[in-house]
Amino acid sequence: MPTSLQHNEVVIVEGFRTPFVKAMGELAEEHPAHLGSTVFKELLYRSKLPPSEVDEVIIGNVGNPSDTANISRVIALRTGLDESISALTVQRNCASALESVTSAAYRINSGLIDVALVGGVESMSGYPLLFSKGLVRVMLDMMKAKTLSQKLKTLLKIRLKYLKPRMAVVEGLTDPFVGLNMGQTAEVLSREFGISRERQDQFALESHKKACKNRSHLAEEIVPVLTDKNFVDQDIGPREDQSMEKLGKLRPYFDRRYGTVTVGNACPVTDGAVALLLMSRKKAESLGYKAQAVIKSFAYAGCSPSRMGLGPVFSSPIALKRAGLTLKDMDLIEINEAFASQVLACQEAFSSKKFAKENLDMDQAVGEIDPEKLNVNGGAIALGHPVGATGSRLVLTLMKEMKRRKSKYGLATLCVGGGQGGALILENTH
Amino acid sequence: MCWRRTGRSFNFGEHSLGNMVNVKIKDLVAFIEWDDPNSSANVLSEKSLSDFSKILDELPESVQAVILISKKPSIFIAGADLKEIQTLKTTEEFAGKIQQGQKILLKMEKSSRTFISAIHGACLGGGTELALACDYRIASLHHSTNIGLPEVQLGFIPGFGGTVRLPRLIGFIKALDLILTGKTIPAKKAHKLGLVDEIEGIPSLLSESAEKLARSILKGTRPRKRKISAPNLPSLLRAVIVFITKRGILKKTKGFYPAPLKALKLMHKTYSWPVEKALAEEEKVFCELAVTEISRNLIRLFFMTEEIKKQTGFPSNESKKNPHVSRTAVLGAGVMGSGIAYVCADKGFETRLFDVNKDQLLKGRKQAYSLWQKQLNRRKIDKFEKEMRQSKMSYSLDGKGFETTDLMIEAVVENMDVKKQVIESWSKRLKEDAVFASNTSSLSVTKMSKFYKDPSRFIGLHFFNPVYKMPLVEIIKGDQTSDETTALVFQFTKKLGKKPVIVKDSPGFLVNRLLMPWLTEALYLLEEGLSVRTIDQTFTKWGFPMGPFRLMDEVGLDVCVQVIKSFIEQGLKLSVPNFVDKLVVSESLGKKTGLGFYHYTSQGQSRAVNKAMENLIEIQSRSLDTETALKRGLYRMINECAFVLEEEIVSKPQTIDFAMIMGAGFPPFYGGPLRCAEKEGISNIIKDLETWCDQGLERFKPADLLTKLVSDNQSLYK
Repeated sequence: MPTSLQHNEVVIVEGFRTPFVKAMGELAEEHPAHLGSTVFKELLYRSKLPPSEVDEVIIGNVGNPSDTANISRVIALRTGLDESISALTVQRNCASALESVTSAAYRINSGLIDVALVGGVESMSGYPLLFSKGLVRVMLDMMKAKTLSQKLKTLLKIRLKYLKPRMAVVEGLTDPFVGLNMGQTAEVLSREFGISRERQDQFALESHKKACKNRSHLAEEIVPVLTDKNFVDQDIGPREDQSMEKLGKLRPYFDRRYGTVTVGNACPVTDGAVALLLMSRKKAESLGYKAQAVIKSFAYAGCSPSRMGLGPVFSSPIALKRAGLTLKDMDLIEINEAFASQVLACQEAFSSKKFAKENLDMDQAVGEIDPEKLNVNGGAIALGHPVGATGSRLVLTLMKEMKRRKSKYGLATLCVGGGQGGALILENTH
Repeated sequence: MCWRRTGRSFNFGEHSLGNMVNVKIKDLVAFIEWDDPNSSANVLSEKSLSDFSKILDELPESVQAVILISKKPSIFIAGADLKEIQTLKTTEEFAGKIQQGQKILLKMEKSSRTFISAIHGACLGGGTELALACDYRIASLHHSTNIGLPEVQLGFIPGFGGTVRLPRLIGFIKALDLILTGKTIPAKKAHKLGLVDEIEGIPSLLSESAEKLARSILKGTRPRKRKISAPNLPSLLRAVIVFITKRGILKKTKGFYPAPLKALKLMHKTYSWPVEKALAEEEKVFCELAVTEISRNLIRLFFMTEEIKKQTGFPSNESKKNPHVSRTAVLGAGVMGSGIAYVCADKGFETRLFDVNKDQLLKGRKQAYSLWQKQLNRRKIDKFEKEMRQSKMSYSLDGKGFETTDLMIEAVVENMDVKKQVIESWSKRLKEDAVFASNTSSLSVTKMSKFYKDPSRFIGLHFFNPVYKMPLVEIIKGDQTSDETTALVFQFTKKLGKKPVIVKDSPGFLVNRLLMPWLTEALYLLEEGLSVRTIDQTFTKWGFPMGPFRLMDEVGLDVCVQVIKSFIEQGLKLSVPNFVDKLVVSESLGKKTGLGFYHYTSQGQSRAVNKAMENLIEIQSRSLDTETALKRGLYRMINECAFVLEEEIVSKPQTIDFAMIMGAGFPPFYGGPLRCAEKEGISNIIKDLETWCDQGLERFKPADLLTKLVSDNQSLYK
């Protein structure tokens, strides 16, 4: 059977995450390095892994804070790993924490390393406001100015428009190639695939319902975070009282006049961190670990930046082909819910022969996605989407659910801002 | 680098020990290297000083600059040889020692050669004074490089010209701050104060930098000799400063420590004197202080601390290989639990704090974080170090992730049933060779050890509150506790920066047991008509940091009475007045409730005596005088010490002295309760005890050990 990872089998031994909390919420004051070290430390404690066994640390992060260049290294050291263990941070926008998994998988598969700590961290609360270029120039000139008259002259150069800050979170969520923000790309898909506001709201409501119903499942993934004021041990997002009426009342956010995408049927900006323990199967066995899942294959693919939401449809067939499997073989599927319209558009595109012919160079549709198999514990609309951490969260949630259901195969896939898709296939080892 | 040795090799044949000091000469510059071959430290002993002096005398004419440097990795010169000082008895002997040093240093100062100290590592006392006698000082920027004159902490003052040269170098006020507190400062601070002239950022290049400095001086870019600056602080201003400083010292030392006051007076007096005259006066004051009992006691305490540093925790102090602790866990996030967890994490141990209550965990975390914040505010650590230490802590509510714990410390409530349940349930969850320690203050360790899967790995580890501050830790060996477990925990506590003492499992262990007769005697004294305030003042005036009633308020009256009862239950002979039960009245349980023997404000400051408490007690007016009161309290403590020795709770009397000073605030300058007894005369004590006993006060019956000592005419300290 062809597989992209045929040299050394790559297994996931264990994984945990912090609760996901909407930005500016209970985790707002926590530095992502702290969120990261908290969850990685718990992973070490709970998996009983001797820290000296770790070969490499690979962590995804999108908005790398300026005070922790290579945040992965900072997390590794604060977790208590030896200084000799290497650590790198990876960035593939929304797929950063899938990239961390697959980067480690490459290394383990090729025999370079045996044990990797991977995951992702993001504090979207911590994204900075930036001074405008004009103001920055004035400030630098001020530092150079020596005499009082020079200083006054420099101050006079300030223009009112300089005072408007640049918001890193807004700039980060805007595609620099086509100039659309992520919400606008979701609007593009809702038009192209004719996805009504009601369908989107219905999908969002389901996400909340599933997440609320399965809180106990999600709790198995979560380790608590203590802050100055709070003991945070639950995702804040899922709402028991979410309803079609409440969702219906929200105004479209990205296209106020004709739009359908609201903050209710889109994922919120979120803080959180995820940690996974990856090993070669041989190593896992020699250390006496029972693998929870095998990484069967993975793939990344590009697509049009203005239709970035369709990324899963581009990447999944490649991953399936590499694993020698079809979409039908998948018992469980996680598609990241960046926007309801985007997931629904993916579902349409997956099952469309026309789409497959025009975009994927395939004769047949990729396959139907059974809603019963999709995001069974809810998705990012309810839980949140800390960009640099979500990829690993999908893998973690999928792995735990596959174990629960004793499923054979599972697919975790997500769209990536900038026009890409990432997909990863797990095989249950039980 | 190749050394060209132009000088002859110095070898003093009569000393088989080898040279303490060696010299290497390289083009006009001599490197005098301090390197005691028999010790990890350099000290100024009779021999090292005479070696040094000889080298100076025999330097070839051609040498124009001399660099003093140490070959030790983290010590420049650690000061005078205290072992030697301990052997000196009379003023004359001390004067001889002082003169030897002063003469050599004066010789350096007066020599036409340029002297440079290249300081890396601890530079203390005489070491600093040696450096001060040089023309230039260069220090390495390294955490081990600390410079100071800590003499006052040992009850005397600098004697090799420290009080003379330091104020002339860095100014009167700055010198006072260093000499009167005895604090040591890092290189950077010393540079800022002007105590060192240059800083070398890379310690390994110190010697080269010193040489460069020497060469540039020889070239004439800088003056060859330092001119001693003339006094520039007007005497009136100085008098004001001295007045204020004196008040500050008295407030801090309560007048119990004469050294800082004498140093202040001396420095004030000699500030404008010629150096040699000032040195003679310094010598005089030094000798006056060095012969005092206070100084002797403080030096003894220093050695006891040093001795613990050297101990391994094994019975005959073997240095056997022992597994070390890397992961610790603490059960219970109360005041003690989180205090212990803080200290563990602060010292770099991976620490996992467990509690069944979310709010308690949060509170424990808060307590620890506020202590780190304090360290940050005081610039003891920077924000990066703070983050690093904070990240050593992890928290658990569900009890998962403890399988790799090496040392588990429980700090749950002092109740045998609760402890049993906690120990039994955790016993299964820990790895085979995990050590389980109980932070108990009053329960039987042997009994608790039976609840653990491997009693040989069970031990008592009694921290004192507040944990971060109190240096003493009692390590309580249960009957089945193995030597390995004891040593492991002993070495662990040392790494926490604590001073452990090993104690046999017995009611109250050591410190609490010895405190209890003193505390209960205070209650008797109250009954006999002395007021709360009078009794407390009697003891604080004598030197205790707080009186017995203040201490009971701190501990909590309910806790006190419970402990007393538990001691009696466990078979300790402890008599208490009948009214003791009446003391536990809700709302007035001590400081925690704002009312005890004293009233307390919400900030915990005390105001007036709580009259209601005194009124509770039927006073049998017998009009005791305070001197008898003092003796009664002290002698009961001393008598209990004797019982403790009889029962072999600890191995030697020094341990009792040490523990009471470190753990119970016994005035250090008295050298501990037994040292105090020795001073008072044991036969005198017995006489008093017997008199009281004859008055029908059974509790004063002297311990057999004391009577035997007197009849055998022996000392407590063999």
